[in-house]
Amino acid sequence: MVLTSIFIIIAVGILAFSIIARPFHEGVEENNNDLLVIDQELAALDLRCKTWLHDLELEFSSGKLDEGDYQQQKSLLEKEIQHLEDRLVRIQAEKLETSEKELETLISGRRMERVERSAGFCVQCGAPLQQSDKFCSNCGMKLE
Amino acid sequence: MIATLGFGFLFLSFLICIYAIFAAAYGIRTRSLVFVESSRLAVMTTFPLITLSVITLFVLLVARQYQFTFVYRMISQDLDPATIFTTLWGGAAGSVLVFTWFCSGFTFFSLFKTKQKELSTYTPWIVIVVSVVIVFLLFDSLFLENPFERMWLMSNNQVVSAFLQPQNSFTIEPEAGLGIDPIFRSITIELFTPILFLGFAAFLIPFAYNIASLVGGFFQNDNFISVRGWVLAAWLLISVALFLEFAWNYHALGIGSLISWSSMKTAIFLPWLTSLAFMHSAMLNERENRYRYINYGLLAITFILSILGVYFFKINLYPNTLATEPGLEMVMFIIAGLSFIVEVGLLAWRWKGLYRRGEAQLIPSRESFFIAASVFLILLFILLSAGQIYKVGSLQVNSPIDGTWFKVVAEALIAVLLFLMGIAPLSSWGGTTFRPMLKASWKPLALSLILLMLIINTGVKSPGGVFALWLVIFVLLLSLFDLVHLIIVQRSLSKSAYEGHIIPQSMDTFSPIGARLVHIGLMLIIFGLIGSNYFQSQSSLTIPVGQEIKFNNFVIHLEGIHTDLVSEGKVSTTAVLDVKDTSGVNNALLPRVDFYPKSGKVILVPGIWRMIGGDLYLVLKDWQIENTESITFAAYYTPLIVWACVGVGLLFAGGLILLFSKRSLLKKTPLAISKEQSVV
Repeated sequence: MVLTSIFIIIAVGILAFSIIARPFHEGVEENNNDLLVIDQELAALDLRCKTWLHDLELEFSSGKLDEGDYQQQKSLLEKEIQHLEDRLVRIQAEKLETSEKELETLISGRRMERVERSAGFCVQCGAPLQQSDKFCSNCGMKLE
Repeated sequence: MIATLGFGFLFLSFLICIYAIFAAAYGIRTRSLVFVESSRLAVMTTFPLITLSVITLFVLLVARQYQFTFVYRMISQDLDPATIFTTLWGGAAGSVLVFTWFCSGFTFFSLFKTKQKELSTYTPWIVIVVSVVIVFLLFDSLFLENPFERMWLMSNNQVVSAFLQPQNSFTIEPEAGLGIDPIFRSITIELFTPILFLGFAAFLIPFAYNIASLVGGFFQNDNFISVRGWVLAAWLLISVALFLEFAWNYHALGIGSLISWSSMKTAIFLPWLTSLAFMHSAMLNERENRYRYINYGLLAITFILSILGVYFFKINLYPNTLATEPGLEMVMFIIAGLSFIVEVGLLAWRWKGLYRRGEAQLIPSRESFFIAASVFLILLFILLSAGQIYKVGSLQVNSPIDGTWFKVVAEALIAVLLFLMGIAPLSSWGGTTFRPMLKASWKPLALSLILLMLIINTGVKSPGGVFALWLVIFVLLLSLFDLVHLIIVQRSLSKSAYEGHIIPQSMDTFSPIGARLVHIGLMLIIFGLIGSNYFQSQSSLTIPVGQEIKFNNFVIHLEGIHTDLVSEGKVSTTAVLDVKDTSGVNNALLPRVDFYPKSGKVILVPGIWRMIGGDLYLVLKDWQIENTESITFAAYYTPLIVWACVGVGLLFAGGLILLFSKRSLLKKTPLAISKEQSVV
């Protein structure tokens, strides 16, 4: 009975070890995407400022805050929110540019891997074409 | 076989935890994400392993394997099958295992969805902190208070407890066990322990984040928001546990009052206070990014107190069944001591980064009230700690609250906190004038003064009690008026009010209501306790069978006395009392004495008539089994006590709203860290 218990424990131990050792086999993907982190951080700050703005509206409507203080705090919060949203828009644009560049790199890499017969040149921009192309890879003109 | 499995799973967890510590440390040292990820998975696997170990212990209990020391102490033949599950945390060995299980469970859930960026920043330090704590607890379970130890008969007829068979010993197979102390066979105390341990264990995660952020220098505001949900959940659990403990005192100990202070309650109350101070201080930090060092300090103190609380809880609650070997004491004090030294060292090292000068707070802004609330909570904490130390040092005072000086100061601090609870919601963030607060206060004040006159007219004589009642009624009315006003204003802020603004229309509106419900709940609890503290009337009465006696506004008639052999282990003597109040309403109360011949224990079960105005509480005393002609009992009338129960319900409901609202504190905000701050 004790031997059976020991075998079961060893089996469970091997299972646990296989889980713990998984990163050594599969590796761990490094996320160097600072833009993603900054994006999330700004979105969280943005939501928090909007929450405070909502609370400010409540407090003013409840009569807890004077008009002067209300306008001052509201103006500060709205400026902060605008500033954050501008930054978010810029980061979104940067992300889009980054992902477009990555897409272009991917496409040209795939094209280089394909070995095909040349099918001439594009009549619009003069870029070289391949047999299987349906659109020009440079200007996007539809090929017949 | 089952015990070997249970011990084996625990030992496996112990080894894996040690690996997790070294893997995380190596990952930090060599900046290797692979080792960090491996350490994270390692500490997470301890949860299923410890769960298996807990299941094996439970199987031993259910199967009544009396040859195991823990089972022998906890289970007896007469034990109700439904109670067996609760014996899992009945003694020191089982309770430490359950506490470790809860710690590993919370660790599992907090690390389950680790974001990529956290892997290189917080995660390795969190893994190290939780693994060190779990290693110490597992060490206690494996080598000091092992629940899988067997009983062995030595050649000199001595019985020893050990996991491995000693030389020249024989196996023992007892036919029955001692069983858990009958006084703990009550649903309230059975639920109290796991809920309390869940609360204490939940403080481990915020503490781990605390250490991680100090080591890594992550001082952004988001850090406290991320952990505030954990602290709130833990605080709610401890609140419920405290209430269950008070309820157990009331129903099972026959003391006639909810308030019976002890050093164990102090040990539970202290982390409750510091975590409450942290939640207020963290909200301030969210707005202003100041007082970070206070927040870090409060988190660490709360965790240390929760570890010590586990120890004090066990030595006070189970002095007889608890094996008060040096094991538990040594482990808990090592964890607490290490945590204290590390925290103080880190705070000193990071002082420059934490301390920020700021302008003085304007009164009566909400910021100033939050600061005041945190200060007074900390003062109350210091007072109770001093009382606990004084009690330990002098051995003269039974409890810090019984001593007159302590009682007066504690009540004064509670009065100030009550006042702050009532007026703080009337202020606003960054507000500067008293006018809106006075405007909101005059109606509740007028109403409370009218009620005060009515109370005085009833002939109440205690000035302290009258003042306390007035204060509670005043702040309660303030809060109720504010809550109703808040709901009306929220509903009236129509869709059009948001046009032109940039507030999302799906903005959560329940969080402020949740916070106010928590305050109202606390006020009602204090309201209920005032009745116990100031206005309780009590008497000792003897009635012959068939006779009646007057107590307060009640006429109590003794119909008869019955003695029954309820089960193999219990003899119950019940007094049948017919009680009538002044309005002619009748009620039958059945106070009884449960006698356990085997252990010689006597449990006094009261008969309670619950009314909105108060409880009539009758409990037998000076009981003699041969006496069937008359009974002597203690009678208590405690006004307002039912409101304490209502208060607990509201407090819990408000806390749940806060936890699960759209602004949920449970949602982890993304941690604002730059790549340069990565430790890996």
